[in-house]
Amino acid sequence: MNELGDYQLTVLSFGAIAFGLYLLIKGGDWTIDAAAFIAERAGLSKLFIGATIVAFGTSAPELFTSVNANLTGFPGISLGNVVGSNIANILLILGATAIVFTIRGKPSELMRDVLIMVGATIILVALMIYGVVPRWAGFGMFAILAAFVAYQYWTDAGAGEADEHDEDADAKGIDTMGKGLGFFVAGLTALVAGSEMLVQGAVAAGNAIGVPEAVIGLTVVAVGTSLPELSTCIAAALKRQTNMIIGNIVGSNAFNILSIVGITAMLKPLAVDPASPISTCG
Amino acid sequence: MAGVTVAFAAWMLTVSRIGRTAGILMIAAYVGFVAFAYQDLILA
Repeated sequence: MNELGDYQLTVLSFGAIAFGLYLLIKGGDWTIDAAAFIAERAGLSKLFIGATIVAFGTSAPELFTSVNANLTGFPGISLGNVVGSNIANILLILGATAIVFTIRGKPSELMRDVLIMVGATIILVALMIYGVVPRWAGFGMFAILAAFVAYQYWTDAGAGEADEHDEDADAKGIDTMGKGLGFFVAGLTALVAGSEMLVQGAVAAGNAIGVPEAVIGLTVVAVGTSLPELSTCIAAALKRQTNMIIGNIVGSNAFNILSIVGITAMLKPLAVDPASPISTCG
Repeated sequence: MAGVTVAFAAWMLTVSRIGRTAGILMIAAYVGFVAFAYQDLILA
């Protein structure tokens, strides 16, 4: 009876993994098409959309995981999730995307966002050396993010005129702002739900087939919460949206630090254990 | 994380291109990072 239960759990776990992957692929597709349409209609550049709304949406799994972990007394998981995700975003996500499609960027367009990403990283590393991310630092990081988004809005307004028309949005019937926002929200919802199903399914499958939880957490959970970025980048690569690929990763990494660490520390100061592997990885 | 971020930033602002070979090397570096973190976790 117990063996049958394990068997059923294994089948259900792999079913959750498969359905989670399906949701991630569809979610990435919808999000990119809707974001491109909204950018075109609103007169905003695709780089702006990629670095703000898409980046925040695809960082949602990390946000929920980190806030929950810190509030329940596991700050190491909270910070490790951000550090691990940022490393995975650059090496794994961009690496996998580059294999599909050569990524090219314009330094003049990237300079501002890249400097914010590097600045946010330096702030986080300094706070990790300090030993705690206090509440005031959380508010400060979120204020920097809000100022950055506002600045991007003012400087990028009107830049979308030069971008090419997105035919995939037409193919999906996205022809009004309402439908665009609907597809965008549905896409982000599918990304978050798919990521959650994949992570939970993988953890359950790991338990069912006897793989230690630490190994599952270090590999599947860290990569799983970055899968929305991967599916969004692969979808953007297939559509040749180069600016959106780099904007997504650079924006996600800045968002991971400024919004996720910021919001997490605002709710409860984030302690850093200098002896933990996360400090080494920082 | 700081090392990876700064190296990526410097690469994008100078070379501005990530091809297939660089992509494979980046994934290899990530596998190395996971192995390092796993070893660190086990030793801790």
